Amino acid sequence: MKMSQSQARSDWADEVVDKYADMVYRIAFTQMKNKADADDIFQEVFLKLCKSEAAFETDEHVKAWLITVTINSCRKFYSSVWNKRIEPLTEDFAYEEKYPDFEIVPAVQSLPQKYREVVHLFYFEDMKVAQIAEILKSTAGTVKSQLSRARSLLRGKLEGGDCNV
Amino acid sequence: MFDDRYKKEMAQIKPSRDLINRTKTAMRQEMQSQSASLHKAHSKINDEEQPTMKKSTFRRFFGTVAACLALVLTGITVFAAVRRLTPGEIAYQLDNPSLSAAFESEDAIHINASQISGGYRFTLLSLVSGYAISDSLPEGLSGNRTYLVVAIEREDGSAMADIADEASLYISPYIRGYAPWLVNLHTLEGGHHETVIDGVRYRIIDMENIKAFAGHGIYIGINAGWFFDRDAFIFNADPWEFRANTDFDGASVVFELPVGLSFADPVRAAEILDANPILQNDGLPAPSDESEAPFFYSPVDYDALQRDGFVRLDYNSYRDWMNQRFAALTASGNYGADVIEMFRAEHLRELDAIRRGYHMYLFEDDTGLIRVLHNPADGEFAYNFRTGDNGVVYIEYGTEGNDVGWGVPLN
Repeated sequence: MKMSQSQARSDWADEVVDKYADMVYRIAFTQMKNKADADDIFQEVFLKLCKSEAAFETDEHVKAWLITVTINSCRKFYSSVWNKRIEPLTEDFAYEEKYPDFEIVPAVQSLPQKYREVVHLFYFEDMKVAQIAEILKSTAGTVKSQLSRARSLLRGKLEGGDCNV
Repeated sequence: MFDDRYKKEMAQIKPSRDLINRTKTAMRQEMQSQSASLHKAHSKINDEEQPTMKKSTFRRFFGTVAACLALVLTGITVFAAVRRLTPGEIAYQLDNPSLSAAFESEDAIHINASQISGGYRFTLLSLVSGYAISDSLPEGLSGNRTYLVVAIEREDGSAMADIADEASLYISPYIRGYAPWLVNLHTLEGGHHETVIDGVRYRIIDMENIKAFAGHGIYIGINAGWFFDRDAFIFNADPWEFRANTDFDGASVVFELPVGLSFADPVRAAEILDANPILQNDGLPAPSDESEAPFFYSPVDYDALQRDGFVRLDYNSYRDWMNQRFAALTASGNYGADVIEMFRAEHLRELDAIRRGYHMYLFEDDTGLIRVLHNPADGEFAYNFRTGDNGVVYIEYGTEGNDVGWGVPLN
């Protein structure tokens, strides 16, 4: 039986969510620093995918689109007039309760936003500097500079631990 | 090692199964909605007697599927026949239910005044402000603000698809007696949220409580562009006059807000003006003399800036950097030709400044704002490139003729 166009789209959307859910959520969580906002960003990003008119040619294209939109959605949240006056809710207590051994993630999350973005993409997503620059519409030089600064800040935060940055 | 530890910890962070399922369900509903809209659009073309579409609003997350999306998909232009949303519904769609409630309350002032200019019909819908709404606002928000909703529709009635495809617009309050380039949305600590729903563009503007200025006279000016454009308006200081310039190439309209004198609060108005750093530094302006429009001087420790992530650029490196950005912006397809051209013009101006001996520094702040600092021989100043809503590049700059334009203070 021939599959309808809407069914094919629906199946494709399910596939994309299954494949990239963790990636999108981790970026959102790193940026938003709390589960509730990360959940909102997560849903927002995938709904934007539904509404997008972008013509995706490859999986890599989908992945790059999702990363870009996730980061932009987080930035938009922080720069929004309504939200910028609200102190972001962090969930330090949740870390302690749910992830008592976490050391690095809280340190990364304590970095300024621009550094969190590059650190996560570089160290977790294993993206090259040039790829990060393209995603963030920046330059390789700026990304390198931000990574360098982020490492320096992380060293300070993790000083005394057994983790070399 | 850092990266191994980071990966190990981060691997434990995952979306819940429930969240994934809810998201998939929402996506399916979204796609079904799109199909339905597409079907409706086709039906409409075949039957001109279709009644105005009724829609269920207040679907908080699934969002309204714009008929325009269907139109884009089909490449067919259908004239808008949808009812305009109420301010309460718009605020809700923009994820601010508290503000939505405020717009539905008795405190809201409903204006519903329209003007046409530059190919658009602008309708001031409603405003709500004052301490009265503070109880209904989320924690952390000041109730002492004014929220104004403007609907923007294409003059020919066709539906909009995306804000990025439409003209950039600066919608700002202005106060009688004060130069518009000094007292405007920026200096009244304003901002906006914007969306397109059912082919209509809605903007909610958030600013200081301008009702306090009721004793002065309050105007809402709309001009094509990213900031106040003096060519868009006829402005005179004495007697004070502020009206649209019908010869302006682009949208230009002025509304006077119907705010009764009973709302005037001279004490609060004085507080707002006293808090304005421009007016603090320079006293009340002489609006007839543009040369007195001040720049924002700020002492800058360039050594500290470089330590803090600034990159100092010479002519070649700045040119290369900006050319890369052009290529990326153009390739992304997310920006209209007018935005790219404006960006390019700004780029050429920057290059010219460097040729004349200015130094230039760049850095990106926590909000993603790329700040560009110049260090001319005769002073120090700054202005901004901002990636705004929908990824549109936003440039804050001032009047033509100034070498540098003017923007926001560094601190």
